[in-house]
Formats: sequence, C-alpha cells, structure tokens
Amino acid sequence: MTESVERRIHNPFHDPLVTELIEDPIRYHQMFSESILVGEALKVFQPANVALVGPQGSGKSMILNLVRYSVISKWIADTGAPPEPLAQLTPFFGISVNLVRANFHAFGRRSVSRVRTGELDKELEATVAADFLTHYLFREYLKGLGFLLSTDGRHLMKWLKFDRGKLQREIQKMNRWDSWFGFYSECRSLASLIKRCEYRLSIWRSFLNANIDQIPEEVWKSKALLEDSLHSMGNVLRDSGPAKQPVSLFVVIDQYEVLPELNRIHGDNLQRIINTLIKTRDPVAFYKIGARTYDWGRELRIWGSESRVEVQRDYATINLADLLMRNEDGDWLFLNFAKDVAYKRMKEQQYQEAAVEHIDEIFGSTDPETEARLYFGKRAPIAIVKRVPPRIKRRIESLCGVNPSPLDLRLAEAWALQKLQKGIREKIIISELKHRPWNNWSWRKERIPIALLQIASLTNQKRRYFGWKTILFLSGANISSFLLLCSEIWDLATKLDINPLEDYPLRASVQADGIHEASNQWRNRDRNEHTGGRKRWEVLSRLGPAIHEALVEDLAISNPGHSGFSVRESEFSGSERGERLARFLQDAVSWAIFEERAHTSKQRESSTRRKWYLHPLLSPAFSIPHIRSKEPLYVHAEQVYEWIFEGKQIKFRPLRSRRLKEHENQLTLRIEDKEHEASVG
Amino acid sequence: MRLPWGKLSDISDLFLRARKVEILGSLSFEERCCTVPERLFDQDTKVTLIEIADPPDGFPNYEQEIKIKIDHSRERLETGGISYESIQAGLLATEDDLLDILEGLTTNHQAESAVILDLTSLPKRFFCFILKRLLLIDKFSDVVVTYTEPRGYTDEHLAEDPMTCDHLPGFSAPLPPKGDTLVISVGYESLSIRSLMEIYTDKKKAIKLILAFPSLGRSTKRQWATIREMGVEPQEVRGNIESISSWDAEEIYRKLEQWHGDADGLALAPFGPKTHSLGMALFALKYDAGLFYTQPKVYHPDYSFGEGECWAYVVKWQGIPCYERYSTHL
Repeated sequence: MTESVERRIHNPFHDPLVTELIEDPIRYHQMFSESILVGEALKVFQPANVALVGPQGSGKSMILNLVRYSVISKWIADTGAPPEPLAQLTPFFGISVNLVRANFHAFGRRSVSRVRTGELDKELEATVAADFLTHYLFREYLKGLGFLLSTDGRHLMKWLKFDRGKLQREIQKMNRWDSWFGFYSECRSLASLIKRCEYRLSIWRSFLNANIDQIPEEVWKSKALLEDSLHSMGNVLRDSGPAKQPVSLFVVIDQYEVLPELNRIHGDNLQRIINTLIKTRDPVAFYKIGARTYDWGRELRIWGSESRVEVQRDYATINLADLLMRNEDGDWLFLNFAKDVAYKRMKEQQYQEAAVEHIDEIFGSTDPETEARLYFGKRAPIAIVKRVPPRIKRRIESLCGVNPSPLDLRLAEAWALQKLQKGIREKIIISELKHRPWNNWSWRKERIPIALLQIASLTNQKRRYFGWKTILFLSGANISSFLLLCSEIWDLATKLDINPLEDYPLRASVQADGIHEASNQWRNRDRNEHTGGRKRWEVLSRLGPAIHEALVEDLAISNPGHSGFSVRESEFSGSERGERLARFLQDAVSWAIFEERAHTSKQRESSTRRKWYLHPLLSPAFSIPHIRSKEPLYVHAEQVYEWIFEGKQIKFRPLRSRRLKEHENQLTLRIEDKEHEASVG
Repeated sequence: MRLPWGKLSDISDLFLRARKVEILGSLSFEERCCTVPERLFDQDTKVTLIEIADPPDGFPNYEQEIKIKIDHSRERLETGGISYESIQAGLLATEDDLLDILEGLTTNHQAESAVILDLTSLPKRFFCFILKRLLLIDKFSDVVVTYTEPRGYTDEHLAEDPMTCDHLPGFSAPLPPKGDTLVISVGYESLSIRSLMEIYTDKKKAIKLILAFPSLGRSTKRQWATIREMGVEPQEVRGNIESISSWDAEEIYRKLEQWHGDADGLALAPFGPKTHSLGMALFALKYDAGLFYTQPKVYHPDYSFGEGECWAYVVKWQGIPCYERYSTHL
C-alpha cells in the first residue's frame, strides 16, 4: 500500500458521526472536548431539567453522553477526577434512554385499549407507555447500581461518596415500593429485580410485535406510576450519599423529537409523558433532553392536562448553536472547539507531525485580493470593467494602475454604477473617483464577498473557497459540517499524493474542490437521509440559483445583503399557510439547511422580523457568499409560501428593482426589435 | 430449515395442484402486480389485493401518475376476468391497521385453502408483518410466498423522502439488544440508513453487506453507489460482503445463520431485493432479531417495468413454518 493510500484510509475526519456513536467510554474520553464544552454547558451537569437544542450535527449527544454513569466513571478512573469544570458541582448519577431504541415510540401503534375494551382509548395507551418507560428506566437504573457495586464502579462510588451498606439496604427495599403494586414483591436481589424487569419489558415488546394478543394480568394490574417510581429511584441515591451533598438522578432522554414522526397517532401523547416528568420538578430526579433546534417546544403540554411546561420555571434551555457562535475574549468559541476536535482526531489516528497541533496552518490563510487574482492567473484583469461609459472606464483603469487589483476594478465600477443609477452626472462621478471611494472601509467590506462572486462569474469560473477562516465560516458553528469539509479536502489531497501534514498550506485549488464536494454532499445528504429533505432539496434547487443570479446581476452591488430574506414574524401566525411556512423554515433550520437570526429592521414597522440564510456550507454549491452583510431581502410570508409550496418562480430582488429589471428587459426587446426591423428593412 | 422454492410453475405443480388458493397481494402501479393473480386464478380462487396510498406529506407528489397506473392494473385484471376484493390502506399503516387487514382474511379463510402471499408489489412493512402473522396463526396451515421479478427498474430514484429509521412492524429488536453485527442487504437506495447507525448502535457495529447477484454492470454500479452513500468505507467491510442471487431467500437465511453463530445476535436492515427481505424476515422470526428500515414516503411511478421470472417459496406447510422444518420432513 502506498503512503498516500494509507493516509486516505486513515482520514481522521472521515466519519462525522463518530463522536455521536462513541458510547464506548474509552474512545469518548479520547475524543471529547471537555475543556471547551463542559464549562459552556454547565447547566446540563447541574440539578436542573435541561433542553439542549441545536441543529443536526451540532454536538448535542456528545455533551449529553458525559452524563451517563459509565462514561463519567471511565473518565474518573482514567484521570482520578471528573472533567475540571465539574469539580465544583454536586456529583450526579446519570442513566439514559434512547426512546426509539427502547421501542417507546411504538406504543399505541398496536392498541392495547382496542384489545382490552374494543375501543381506542388514548389515555390508556399513554398509561401503558408510561408503565413501559418506568420499567425501562428502572432497568437502566438497576444496571447502574450493579455497576456501582462492582469493582469497576469503585471510582464512581468514591466520587459519589456513597455508603455501600446504605445503598445495599436501599436496594433491599426496592421490591416494596408502592408504585410497583407488588410486581417485584418476590425479588430479593438486584439480579432478580433486573430479571423480573426484563420479563415485563419483554411482555410489552411481544404485544407490540404482535407475538401475543393478551397482556398477562400480573402485568396489567400493576401498571407503574411514572413520577413516583422515578422519585423513589432518586431518593435511594440521595439517601445513600452524604446529606450535605445529596446525589441526584439524571436521566438523559434521546430521540424525543422523532416521536410524532414515527408514531403519527400517539407521538404527541408520548412526548407529553416526558413533559410530565419535567413538570413534576422532582427535587431528586432531573431530565436532560437533546433535540434539534425547533423540535423542542412544538408540544409543551403535559399528559392528561392542557397545562404546559414553562421555560425557566420547569426547565432551562441551552442553544448549542448560539453558544458556539459566541465570542469569548475575542475568540470565537467554535474556533477552539473545531481545533480541539481536529487535533484529537488526528492524534487518534496516530499522526505525529507538527501540523497536528496547528490545523489552521494546514489550510493557511486567505485574503480577498489573493483570491481575486486567482481568477486571472497571469492574464490582466482589465476586461472586468465594461458596464460603465468609456470615460468612466478609462478613469477607473488609470486610477487602478498598471497592475491593477481585480477587486479594486470591480468595486470601483460598482461604485460608479451605483452613482449612475442614482442619476448623478458622469462628470461628477469622474471627479469623485479620484478620492478612490471604493476604498471606504465600511462600504468596501460589505461588498467584497459579492465582488469576488461577480469576478468568478465574469471569468466563467466557480467561486474558489479556501483557507482556515473560510472553512470555519462555512462550518456555520456546526461540528459535523466542519468535519465533512476537512474530510473532503483530506481525501482529495491524498488522492493527488499530497500529504496534508507535510505539504501545507494546501493548494487553494485542492481546498476549493474539496469544499465544493463537501457542499454538494451536505445538500444531497439532506435530500437522501433526512425527514422532509426531498422537499428542501427541491426548494434549494430553485432558491440557491435565484440568490446567485440576483447577486451576480446586481453589478452596482446596491444590495450586498441580499443573500438572505427577512419576514415579519406576525405574518406567520393566524393562518394555515403562515404556520405551514413557519414549520418548513423551522425544520430547515433544525436540519442545518437554513440559518435563522433575529432581524432588526431599518424600516419603521410594528412587528419584529426574522431573517433566513442558506446554511454557509451550501454557499459553494450555489456560488453565493458565506459571509453575510446587513439588510437581507425584505419579503412577505405569502411570497415565500408561493416560492416554497406553489413552485412559483423565485425572483430574489426587491419589487422596485424587479420592475426596473422588467423595464430594462422591455427596453432591450424594443431595441432588438428595432434592430431586427432595420436589418430586415 | 427447509424451504422448498423454485419457479412458480414448478412449485405450483408440486404443492398447489388441485388445491384451492387464496391470494393476498397488492393492486399497484407496477405491471408485475398482476402476474401471480393471472397465473393462479381460477373460479375457486379468492383474491384480496391491497391498494396502498402514499402519505399526503410525501414529496414529490406522484398521486396522479400512480392513480393512472393503478387503473391500468385494475383494467388488466378485469379484462382477464379476475375477480378480487380490494382493500385500501395507507403506506404508513400501523400494526393495528395491518391486523385489521388480516382479520378479514383470517375470518374468511377456508381450512382447505393454501394462502399465497404475493410480495411482488407489497411494501416491506406490509409483507413482513403479514408473513409473520400467517406463520404464527394455526388456522393458516399452508402458506406460499410468491415474487415476480420485473424486466428492469427506472434509472431515477426508486424511492424517496425517507423517514427516520424504525423497526418494521412486528420486528422490533430484543431488549436489551443482542449482538454487535449489523447486516445490510443493499439495494439501489441508501435512503436514510445513517440514521439506523445513529439510533441502533451502542458502539459502532461490525457491518456485513449482502449484494444481489447476478450483478449486471449497471446494477453493480448502483449497489456500490448505495454503499458509498451509506458512508461505509471499503476497508470497514472488506471480507464482509456476500453476493447472493436476488431470488435466493434460502441462501440469505443460511448465511445469516452462519453469521449469527459467529456474532451472537444480528440486527438486520433489509434494503435490498424483496426476496432477500423474505430470507431476513424468516431468520428474524426464528432467532428473534430486529428488522430495521427507513421507510420512504414516496415510490417512483415508473419504479419497475415489465414482468420477468416468477418465484415461489413454501414458507409453511401442514402447519409447520419452514424454519422449524428439517430436511427429513419434506
């Protein structure tokens, strides 16, 4: 095997999911960025109910994983202590449930109530689902206690400061908890409790799988009380440890968001069961739920009541995307996170080169000037200025010198075109050009990304994305997109026999091609793999080119912010169409296809606004800027609805400029007609 | 296990001669849905066909194209003088819905009749569940599964808009899950198989792949494209790929048995040909394994074209399921 093939095989960034999949505590310890993430999401590790939200791939599971007793125990065994930020917190004992893996999502699809009473009774369906969940969590809890009492659990035992004798005495009493209604009365040991619990779970599974048609009476008559049982589990922990530092039970709940999708009749009700646990505000049991950005909050009612769980009062929310986007002492948090993840992955693959510690140097730097010149190679960029009158063109070219910067030429022309569009006379424009107004920093900064895009388009090339900062921006604070970018660039480099850890910074062309591939994959992956992705793909296939076209055609760069759109929030409520649109946009944000931000409007209006952009990693696929300027396109919800659901042609321009464009087109047609008539004549 | 199988004509001669049969199949947009009813119908045959509608939120919406094609199938059966009972069902039918479909069949079943489950155009979530109940319920003593190959498939996506991974109705995995090997039968679509790996793997499972053979140039290419889309690296599965005839359900079963012996439990993902799914379902019934799938919400109206060979599998005879029967029995 050649070295390059070897490196391709050991692409450290290959599997973006690996960190999600690491439930193996040893690998988890090697890969987790505890110094960055734990401190930032401290609430997850404190006695509080927490909804940890963020788009697909943002790293939620990675954080929640640390709550699990097996993971934190391994950590303590290896290092003698939990991750540093946890040192000051009260120890906890964490169990977890993946609601789909546990089959909780399937309750109600085969109706117990129909079998028992001949009629569908949603309340009864929820009762048996709650019973199943109670016993499932009880089994996880018992297994955890078994681990604690084993040799492997001694480190965790020490951290929790548990009294072994007390814990064993508490276990002896478990079979008598009122909430079991005598189901465990014959069990005298931890092992017998587990066995009995597994029997009960297997009964429910057999019923749902249609292996059996009746539930044994001993199970039917002992349906457990969810909140009471969890409270009792928490009490055992509290009573087994020191009174001054009571240990709480933490329960990580995964796959909460897919319940309505996988169970269309009862899914909402199943979510309400979980909400009920949160609403209880149990002082000894706390719930940690990971969900995609907008999948938390769609169903906040509790089971059997219209009352809702309330943020701050019943639970806290941590938005991982917002958190990672935050600036910390001048450093973007995501930057440190990305560096750390990349470092750990390269180390895991046994790479020892110096570059392992400096991933930023592998990709190098970029600046607009360098990029702009890349589109011309050794050619002179003069031909770029051709849409202004000859006198202005000559003036611009002379001001830009003998070896002109393509970026200066394009920006100078854009500035002149803006003035012409405002009706300012040529003479005045020529006079003002001498002050090089395109160098005004605030004016220039906003327009550079569009100018680069236009230069690429004018030279019939794809926009070239490269450099460490570009990769960070394209990642959109999403660790999965960052890994995909790194992976594709690594793959391409090694195919070309380039060792990314020695021959760096990597050539711009290699990075650009890898980035384009990652961008297309991000788009296609959503289409092929995510719920609703096929529809989003279709919308993107019209919206992306429409944005590109509008930006490329705006040669005066009058609207540099028009890579996104802004809608009044009030337009989403009160109508079915508005709500359907809101749902589509929210899902697109949850699946990391759109980004959403609050928008402070420059217009005087009575409603707040929100703005949406394509996820930065989609920018290369459509050749649109990944850095956003202010003032997106102002549109109405109805317009966006028509784009998305009625297949209406997307014209990504303000109405005024669209009319102007139509007017120009008509004018052109008239001129062409006249020319045609003249030639025929 | 003993699973007599072969061309429908041969199995029919050996097992179904002078027997009344009850056919359960699908009235579909595929031409081949008509083949088995046409070949087995006579005046004593009872035919029940399930007409399945895609969910309204599926995208793209092919409702009109599919309706026209189903009407063609209906006309064809009526022209051929085949009378049948039609049942409407949604693609995302729950276990309750599927049991309701079966209840009618069970009530009206005549003891002397053999049941023909024609899985040709039935979605996996339907036929795996129905197969399971037919094998479990004593009232059905003789069950034969049939499958008609098409002449070919569209070059477009066969199925789209996949849902999050779930077990097929009736086939959830044991609790706690057993084994550490995931077996994927590979088809032309990867759908959302990554979500399977996300949900159902405690740690990264060993992956084994089953490809359909004979691998004509184009189908090989499509299967490998699927593997790439799954994000499976060649080195991860080196030595763990089997090619099995696309109609050989028995060989699938035996291969799984062999892997089961080595791995102490398998999780199965039937994304390949339906007859491979049949072999997987039989294995799952015998060894209590989970079957996982990412149900697409939309099927292409030109999914397949033409009608090829028709295969039959005797999955239950004289009340004994094939996986409980040994070579001495038949």
